[in-house]
Amino acid sequence: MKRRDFLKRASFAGGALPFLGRSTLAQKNAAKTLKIIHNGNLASLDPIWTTAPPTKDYAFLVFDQLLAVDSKYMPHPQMAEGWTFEDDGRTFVLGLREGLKFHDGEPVRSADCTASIQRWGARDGFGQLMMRFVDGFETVDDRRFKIKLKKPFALLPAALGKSNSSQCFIMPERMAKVDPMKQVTETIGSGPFRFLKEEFVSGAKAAWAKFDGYVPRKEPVDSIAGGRISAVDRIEWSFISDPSTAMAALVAGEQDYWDAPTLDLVPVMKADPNIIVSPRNPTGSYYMLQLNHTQPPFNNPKVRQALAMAIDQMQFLKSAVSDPSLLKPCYSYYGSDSPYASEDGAEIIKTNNLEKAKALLKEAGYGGEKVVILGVIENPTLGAMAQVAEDLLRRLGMNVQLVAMDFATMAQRRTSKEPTDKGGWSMFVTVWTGSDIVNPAVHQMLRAGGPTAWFGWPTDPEMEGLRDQWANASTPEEQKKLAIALQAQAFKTLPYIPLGSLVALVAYRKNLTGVFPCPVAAYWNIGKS
Amino acid sequence: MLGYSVRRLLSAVPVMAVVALVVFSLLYLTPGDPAQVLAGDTATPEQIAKIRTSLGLDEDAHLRFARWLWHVVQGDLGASIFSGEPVTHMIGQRLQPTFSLLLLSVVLSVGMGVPFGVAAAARPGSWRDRALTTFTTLGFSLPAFIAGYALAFLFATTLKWLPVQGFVPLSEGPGLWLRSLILPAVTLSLVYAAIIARVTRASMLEVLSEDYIRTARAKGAAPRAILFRHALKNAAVPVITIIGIGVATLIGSAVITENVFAIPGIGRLTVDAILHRDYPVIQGVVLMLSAAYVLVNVAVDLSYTLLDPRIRY
Repeated sequence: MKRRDFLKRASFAGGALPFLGRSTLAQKNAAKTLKIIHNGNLASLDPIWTTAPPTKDYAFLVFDQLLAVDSKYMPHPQMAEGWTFEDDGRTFVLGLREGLKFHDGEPVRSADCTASIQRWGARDGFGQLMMRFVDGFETVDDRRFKIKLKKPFALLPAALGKSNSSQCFIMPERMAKVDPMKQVTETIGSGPFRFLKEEFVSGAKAAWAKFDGYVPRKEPVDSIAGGRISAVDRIEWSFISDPSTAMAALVAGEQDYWDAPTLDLVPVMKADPNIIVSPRNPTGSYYMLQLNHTQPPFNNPKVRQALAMAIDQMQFLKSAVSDPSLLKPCYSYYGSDSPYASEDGAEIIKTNNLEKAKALLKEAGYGGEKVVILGVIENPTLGAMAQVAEDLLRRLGMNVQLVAMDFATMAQRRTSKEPTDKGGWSMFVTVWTGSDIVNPAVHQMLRAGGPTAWFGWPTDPEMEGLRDQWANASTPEEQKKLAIALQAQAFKTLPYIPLGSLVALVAYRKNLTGVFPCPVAAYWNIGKS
Repeated sequence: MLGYSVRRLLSAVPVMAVVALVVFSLLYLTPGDPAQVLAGDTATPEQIAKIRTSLGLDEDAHLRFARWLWHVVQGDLGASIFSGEPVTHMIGQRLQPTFSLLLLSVVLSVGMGVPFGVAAAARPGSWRDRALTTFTTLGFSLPAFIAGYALAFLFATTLKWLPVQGFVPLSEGPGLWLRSLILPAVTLSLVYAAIIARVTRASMLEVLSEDYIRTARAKGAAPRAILFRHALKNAAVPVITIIGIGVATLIGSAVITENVFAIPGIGRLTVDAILHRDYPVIQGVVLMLSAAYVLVNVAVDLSYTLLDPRIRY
């Protein structure tokens, strides 16, 4: 073959590439399929067994909740027709909506609900708190049941309808009877989408189909409350771990929605007229400097206070993102949209004065004990903040070692209560969503029960007492007063130091409709024009 | 020949047993607790301990190894700690993308490398030879993630000829399958095509200086026949060796390419399993890969006898 002939044929082959394998059927299906780039790896399919965020996002499509909180964290009926408290608040009665069905066609019954509540109550923090008040369950009929309480628990509807961490999802009784420490193997729920298990490739691809038997509520969507409408026939998740590839796929129109775009790629996407980048989660992500209260030097309250006085939240936030519109200092132990958000007692973390901090550190008697920072370098934001912490501690005159590691290593090492020279630790940076820190029941890091508290194990009986009082309070006003008192006490004990919040963005193609503000990755109501 | 093949395959068994022991020991020594990752941040220490017990992670390492090995002998690689799915099923789901990528990459590497090498050796010092040097230098120097991004930017994002990411199974159509693989395969094959071209050129130059080639030229054999019938066959042994090594190395390199093009293959399964400390999956994948390495080496050894009748085992 002559060179010219070869080039001619090669150019023909190149020209044919765009049409290689395209079919009208594929294009037709694409219009009804919502394609989502999901950052996490969906491994487990049991939202009670694990609190991994991808599992939670999967569960919001497959399962439904009895109640659901709105954007102000007020609970509303979801599967429920309504609820009442009887017997001076000692009996909670809930009635189910008519026509609720599981994906296998079976009706949702009271027995499914009570079994699901008990399984969730065995694992979730708010659920465990609720179960301390529960005396027993009583099935009235297939659509009504009662929860008998030892004493009134006004927060019960908020617990059943919560949006953070592990939610009270309703499963068929046979699934809900599975030991909560073991995974369920079925994927039968009563939510707006059916999981297509046969298409599932863990860590690669997951797909759902619209559940035709789902009857959404009539109310408009408001956070996770309101109508959960299936606006597409099918949802597909692709797990794309490389951010540049994820962005290119969105820009090229191969994908419709990216649930957690990398912040440094945001300007590129904003420049594309076909892409919308917006903060979907109104509560944002809250960063925290967790301290080990059981080992020197942070077992000394004055050392913790000195560190708090040296903190400049903006330095930490700017290490992650330069766009000032994406960062927000937070001088509260609750999220900014929490009904309990306030700056009561926060003066110490507003000090931002290195000299004062050094003076207090000296007064505290700091003797050069080594501070080991666990730096999760695989997460760019946590890694950058760990480096800022290292620099700050050096400027304070402390003996610091930053240990870089992946999350799995950190997750193990943070369980150690040993001294730093025997594999222990002193601090690490962590992140929670606003709905994870909305109230004292769900806020793990505000627990101060020593060995039963979160990693760092702060001990403050006064904080624990205030939490109990809050749980027993009967009115929202009383609850708010006690929650704020708990925060003020926390700023004295400093279980951790708040570092401020970053706006959590999503990016999606302009032809998507119905994207609504939500603290979780909910994909109902989202359609394609 | 058959006896040799069987002996080679049997000799792989102790190799793989040692690999299994080393992998298991390394995992045991690596920090990280899957129970912690599983339980999530809201779990209490008691709940984490229960999960650890339910997964058998609190048992002695030698007991865990013995149990795992016993199951492996019976063809059971265990189940993922996270998804509960059998490891064999998970590997099976990931085999087609990786195998497809490797197959196309090998075809491209050999398809580009051997003709380039032959063409360059035919006229040493010519423009073709200098072009080959440029190509091989580029191929060696460009890391897969740079070449991948550059190709994706040009052919997917800008020209929109090919998809940016993802894999389409063969069952959905050979055209779609090929479309999804072109960019990753080209990315992966660049470096190997360069290596194969270099080795082919060097080997061909050596053979072309042999007396029997001079004789063939003297008796008037056509240049094409001299190159391909007389020289290439005799120059092929080192080329086959390098192709064999390349196939084995491609398996490792595929991790990066699969990541860049979001191909759900064995490479990504391995990375995810390591990050989550999903021990059964890591062990299963490493065992499977070591078996693949052994098989590739056996295949290369056997191919020598076909190319060079003087080689006998």
